[in-house]
Amino acid sequence: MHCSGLILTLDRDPVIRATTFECLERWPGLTLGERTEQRVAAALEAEHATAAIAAVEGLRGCPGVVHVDVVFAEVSAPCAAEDSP
Amino acid sequence: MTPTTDRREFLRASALAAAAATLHASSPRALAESPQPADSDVRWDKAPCRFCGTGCHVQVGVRDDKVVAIAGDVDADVNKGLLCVKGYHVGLALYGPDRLTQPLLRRGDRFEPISWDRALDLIADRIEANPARFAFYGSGQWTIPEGYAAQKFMKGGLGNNHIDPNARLCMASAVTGFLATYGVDEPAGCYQDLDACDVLILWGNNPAEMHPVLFSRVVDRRARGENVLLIDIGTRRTRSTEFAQRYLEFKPHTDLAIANGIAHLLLQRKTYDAKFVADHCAFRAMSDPPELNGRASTFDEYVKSLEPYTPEYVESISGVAADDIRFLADLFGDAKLKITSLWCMGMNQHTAGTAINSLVHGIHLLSGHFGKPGDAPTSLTGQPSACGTVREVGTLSHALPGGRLVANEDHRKECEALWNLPPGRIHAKPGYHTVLMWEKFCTPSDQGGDVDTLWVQVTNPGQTLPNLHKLFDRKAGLKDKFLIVSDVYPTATTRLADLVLPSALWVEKNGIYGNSERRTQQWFRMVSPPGDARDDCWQTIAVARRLFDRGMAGMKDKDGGFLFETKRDGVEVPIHDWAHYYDVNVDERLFEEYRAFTRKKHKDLAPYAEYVKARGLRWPVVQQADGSWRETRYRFAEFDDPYVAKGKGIQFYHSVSKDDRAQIWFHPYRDPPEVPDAEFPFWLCTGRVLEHWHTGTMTRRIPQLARAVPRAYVELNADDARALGVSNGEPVVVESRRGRIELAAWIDGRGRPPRGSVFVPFFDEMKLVNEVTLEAHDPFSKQPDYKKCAVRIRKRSAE
Ligand code: SF4
Repeated sequence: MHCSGLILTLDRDPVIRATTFECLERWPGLTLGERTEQRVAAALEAEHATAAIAAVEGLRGCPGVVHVDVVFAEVSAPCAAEDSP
Repeated sequence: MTPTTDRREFLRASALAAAAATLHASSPRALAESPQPADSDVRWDKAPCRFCGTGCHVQVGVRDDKVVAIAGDVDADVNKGLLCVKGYHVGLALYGPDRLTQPLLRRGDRFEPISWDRALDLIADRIEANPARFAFYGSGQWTIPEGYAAQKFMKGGLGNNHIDPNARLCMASAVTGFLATYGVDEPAGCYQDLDACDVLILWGNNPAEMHPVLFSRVVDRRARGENVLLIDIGTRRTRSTEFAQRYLEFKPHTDLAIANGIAHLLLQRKTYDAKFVADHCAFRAMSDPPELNGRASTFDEYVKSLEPYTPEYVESISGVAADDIRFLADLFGDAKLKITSLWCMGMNQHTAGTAINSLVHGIHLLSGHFGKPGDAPTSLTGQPSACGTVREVGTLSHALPGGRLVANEDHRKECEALWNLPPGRIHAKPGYHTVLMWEKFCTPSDQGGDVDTLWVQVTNPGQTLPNLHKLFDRKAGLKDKFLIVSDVYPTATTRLADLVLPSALWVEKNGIYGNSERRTQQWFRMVSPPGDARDDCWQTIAVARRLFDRGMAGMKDKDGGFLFETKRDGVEVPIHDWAHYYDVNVDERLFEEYRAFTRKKHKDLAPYAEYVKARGLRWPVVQQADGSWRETRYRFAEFDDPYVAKGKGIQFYHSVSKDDRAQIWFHPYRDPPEVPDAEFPFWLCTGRVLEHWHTGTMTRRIPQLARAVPRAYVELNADDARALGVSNGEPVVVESRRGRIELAAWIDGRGRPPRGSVFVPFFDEMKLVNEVTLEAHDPFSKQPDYKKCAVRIRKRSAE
């Protein structure tokens, strides 16, 4: 299991933002935390780190998500079997 | 709860806490304290990220002598807690399975482990045999003390100026551009310009991938409803283009014509800032023979030189529509706007790199878009200490610490005095710059190849030098040449080495970096290096000591003391002995010595202890009446720069013309040395990708990043691919007059080149694109042009 801390920057149109939250709340492994008007803190759990990268890319494509910054990563289990090069 | 669930809960809470802290830190209500994930076992400390020149700060979590977590540092002004995908994996760079852990000596085709004692003796033997035929090839990833020690060892010890860094390959043209314009290196502004500008112009720059955290500052402003106009002037569509309101595509190399076109219109419409120009600028043109500082010119000559650069003429050269040139001139002609220009390798890796750097500075000066927050011409660096270690410490073949030059007698005397050396120790002739150094090393001795022994630290020239066949691979057959490589992993360079030395990496050692905005950043060693890996700085000092013990005069100061003599309470600490290297803080000792060099060009640094407290400080850092130390965000501007005389407003106090004026240059557009033709009909541009850092030595060992972009590829335009009959993923051959590589085609990928252009990233050791590139370089900066050469593309199956 791999855990990342994210900041999602959202569209400034509140109508679009409402649909964004619907999408985010259904996103597998994503826990939403504190938010300001256009930014929301989140934790993302994924099976392994490669899946976490794919999920971050996927979140970038979520309607109303303008930008995703990753601000925390657990690196204590770097080479789980799924991640071996 | 089971221990597994417990740990999961803990990690999720930590991730949310870090994200929440960043959320508040990047809003105007910055938190005073850095909230960190609470885990009693984990010890946290600050460090700058190991990768790019943005210089984000991370919090490094350590448990049981191992880095176990990384969080963005919310107290850091640079990144306010944010990190990019590389930054948040930076801790894993330490733990690739093939770390070098012992010195290795070549025996035929194999490497054999040897002791450090033996390794140091071998190096000392080679240098002692012929000190003048030894060269040192360093890096913008050297820490400041590492670069300073190498600099002192070479120029102050051996009296040998053959020391040059890999930064020659990435930002030397920015240096010559700053010098020719302001008489002193490095940007006047800082990252806060990105928070204040109305218009951000990217000149051949892709910060969304190369400096992503900086770019997110602008994206964030836009998301908050601020009106920031983003203009991408580029040769291919990139991730940055996706955010730009205007994309102006130009033919490779023609940015000089665009810059001249803007200046032409500012003059013709009289929308330039006549007062700023009259008060603060002088004019300059190229001399005969050409010299960096050229010759004085006049306003009238400048106007006349620019006359041909009408929008229509510029369109005919560059492919950018005349109306778009007018649009750019409209922006620069509007005094109410705040305009920041950003550039990096696109303008620097250019055979006219000095010229285009000077021209973009010139547009800002001519239009008065300078010296106010948000109004700035700013170059970025690719490496974490290209500014700190290369530009400031002066680890270039022509330079001395603190902006001094080897060719200047006064500068040599000052350095000899500060280093307590006998007069005349420092040689007056510049040493070999990178391309020449490697040419000399890879040329047989009896054919003029007068470098026999070359020591490489913290860089990978076997992958990054242009035209590798000529500048690197040829060494393989030369038995009298000896290549020493200090690195953390096996690389394309260690493959050709005779002696490989295992180095400590990042938080396995103390360090100090200097980022792109003049910010000096300190960190402490947090974990042990693996096996017998040791600090690069120690390696240099240990070799110097061997030579000292053998009686080499150059390793002594004028009182007979060792160049790196270090005392505690009056008693010498044998820092050349690894067992005692960390008995004192060698970084602090070297930094305090180096600090004395920095005042001459007003690049003053604070005492080491100030950097321990701060998340970096931007020089000049000047002591205040109350004893505190104050950094400078905006140079040459009276409101912030303590060295500007009262009442001057703006003062270019290192002016080339010695009258406090910056130089506005004219440089004509000239064709590049190689252009596509019938035989080689495509432009090739090389560069980086978000997930990998430079040659990928570290990021390819981070499984998450390696998997994200496992192999290099060639980006093809969809119409070109159709014409060639190439489909996505299909192997193609990219071939120039110098070499060829095979790559998978990527059509309509992340970057989208126009018809007739292709792009190949250089991170992949298995796909060395520099077998193909051209070694032609800028005449002043000596920086090669990796951004353009002519190639042909073929389906591999058609061969
Ligand atoms: S932007 Fe550069 S310095 Fe910042 S986290 Fe990414 S690689 Fe590191």
